[in-house]
Amino acid sequence: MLRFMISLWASKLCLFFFKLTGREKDDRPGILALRLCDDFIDRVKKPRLVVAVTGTNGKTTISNLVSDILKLEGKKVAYNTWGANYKAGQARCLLDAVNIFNKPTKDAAIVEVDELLSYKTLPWIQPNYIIVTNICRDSIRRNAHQEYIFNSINRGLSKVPKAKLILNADDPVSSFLGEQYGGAGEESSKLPNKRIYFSIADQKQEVLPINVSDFPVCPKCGTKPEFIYKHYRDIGSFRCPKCGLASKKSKYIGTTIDYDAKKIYVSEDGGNGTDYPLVSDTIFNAFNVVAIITLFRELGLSQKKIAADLGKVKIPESRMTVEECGGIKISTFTAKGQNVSAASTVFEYLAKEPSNKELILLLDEHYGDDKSIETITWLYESDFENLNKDNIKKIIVAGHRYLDYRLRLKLAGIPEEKVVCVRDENTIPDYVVFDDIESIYVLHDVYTVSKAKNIKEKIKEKMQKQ
Amino acid sequence: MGAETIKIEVLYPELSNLYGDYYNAKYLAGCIDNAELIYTSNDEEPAFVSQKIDMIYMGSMSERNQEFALGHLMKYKDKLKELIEQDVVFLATGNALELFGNYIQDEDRKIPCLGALDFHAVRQMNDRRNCFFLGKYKDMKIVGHKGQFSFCHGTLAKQKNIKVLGGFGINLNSKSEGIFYKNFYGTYILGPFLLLNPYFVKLILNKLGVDETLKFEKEIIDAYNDRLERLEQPGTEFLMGAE
Repeated sequence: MLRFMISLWASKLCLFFFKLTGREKDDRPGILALRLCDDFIDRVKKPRLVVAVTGTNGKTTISNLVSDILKLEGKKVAYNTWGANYKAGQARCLLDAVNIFNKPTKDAAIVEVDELLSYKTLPWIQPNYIIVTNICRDSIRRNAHQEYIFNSINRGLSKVPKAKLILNADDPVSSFLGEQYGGAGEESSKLPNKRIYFSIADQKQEVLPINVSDFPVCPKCGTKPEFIYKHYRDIGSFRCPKCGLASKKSKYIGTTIDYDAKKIYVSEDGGNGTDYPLVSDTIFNAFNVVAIITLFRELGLSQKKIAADLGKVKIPESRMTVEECGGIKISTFTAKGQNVSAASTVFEYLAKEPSNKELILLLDEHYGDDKSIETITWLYESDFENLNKDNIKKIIVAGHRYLDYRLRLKLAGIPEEKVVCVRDENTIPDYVVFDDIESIYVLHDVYTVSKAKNIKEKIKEKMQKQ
Repeated sequence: MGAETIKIEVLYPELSNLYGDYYNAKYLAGCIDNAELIYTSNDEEPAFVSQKIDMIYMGSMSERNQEFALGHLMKYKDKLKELIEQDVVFLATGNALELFGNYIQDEDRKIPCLGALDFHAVRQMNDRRNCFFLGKYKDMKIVGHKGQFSFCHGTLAKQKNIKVLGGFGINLNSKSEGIFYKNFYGTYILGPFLLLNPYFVKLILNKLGVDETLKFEKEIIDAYNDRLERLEQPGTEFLMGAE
């Protein structure tokens, strides 16, 4: 106990100093807390409401929006806006939710949980609600494959039986969390957690082909599943023709999306619902919005209030920015190198978004380090083929992996005259040509947000000079 | 180079394309003027049962999908043994190679495999190992990335195949990577193994008896040389953590 209290006081002091010097977005107070007391997260008292957000893609967006809505509702919230989802970030978040006597001072904590480590951290965090966004292809080094992550989260869930799960019924992988099939010789079993499902009804959208499936066979019997509809990649509703395993039935369903008016109608229990504002025109963010609506409806907030609050919140800038300059829309988008599903989903969006555009890919893990090496399996899992569209006028790639991209883009059939691959990312603006384009997209990793921002600024400067 | 069609059968593309592995077969076929790619699902009879196939390819799988694949392939284990002995070219990347051994030991579970080659695998799901890989096979350098829960042991795992220069071998005590036997090539190197190793593609093309010119030869060799140069730098860290 003494060890914990010392770690709490020291880390609180450290946090106070960091806040005082404008360095609030820093995990170091959390690192200190864990160094002095390795079970700090377990021991620190939690607010009455603790929401954990885990899954492959969408954690930071959902966590930010949930936190912002709670604040709009007058609640005091502990949350790391910068998406710190490892132990240090979680400790940093939770130590901000108590006073020096370890008494909760906040109404809620929103804790992002790295999915791989969820088996360790969920039991410490003891959330009331767990939102799982999806389980898709991600870095093979860390995440291996979806089955591995599924099992990791399930291990964590087995230790928090009272936590309510909010699951995406249109994700054939994560929607079966809380259950385990005997496909790999294990007995089928169910966890006691209450599960609430959300989904989006068929929007009759064209879905582009993918190189590697997230859900190639039924986990129960190994048969190729039949999809009743898909929204993108393998996100949609399925049924196994052999054993009958099928998508879960949802309590909350986004029935109609109007991208022009940026709104989605969400029905409840098959009955009446209401229109809610969307935070962007992407289907993956529509799922994030429905997940958030599900949480707040389960917490008892009225449809009207949620709709009003959603109209006031924005996606964090680390994930997406849009601005217009000289009649050309310049956007930065997190696409995440190494993360196949995130990159491919953004590629699909860009292929379908009708404007004539140039793409800038800043997706290497390392920039500026001449010795860097990295895994490139993701290049051959990701759907670069979908970038071979008439509305994509040029693709500019920069970074140490430029030769790997050159080969990959050629194999994807992208005409040579549309492709620029260079080692030095600082030269990117030299290759941007503004004739005949309506938009420029800078796709970046979570580690290259500021680099993307700098490049965007340089492109704007060039545009203004012209 | 004859005009005869070169048939490459990709076994279970749904199950064994975990890390973009199918691009290996696609690229290889792209290097051959008269290649036919045959994709066989796990509810179909493999083409090698009823027709002459020049090469069989399998890629990485999840552990559950390994067992689905085995469930289907066991019916054809004698035929597969026969084809290996007949010098048909096989390429198995990632844990696909384990299916051709005697068994996979997963803690106290022993999963019977095809028994076509004399080795076995030991799986530990709580111990994932990752490394960049640099090795030497004959006069070529081999590069890539490995990430695995299991390793091979037994007679064929003791043979010297790809000499390890960086990273780990077929098991953590081995300085050799790969299970090679006649024209069977199995390696734990993941995903686009052939795209990373143009000279190994030439070796396979040679085994298939076709012209060794590569598709986008300059681009693939430039990318290979750049990677090789980076991996050969003094002080390169080959081992990577899993968290």
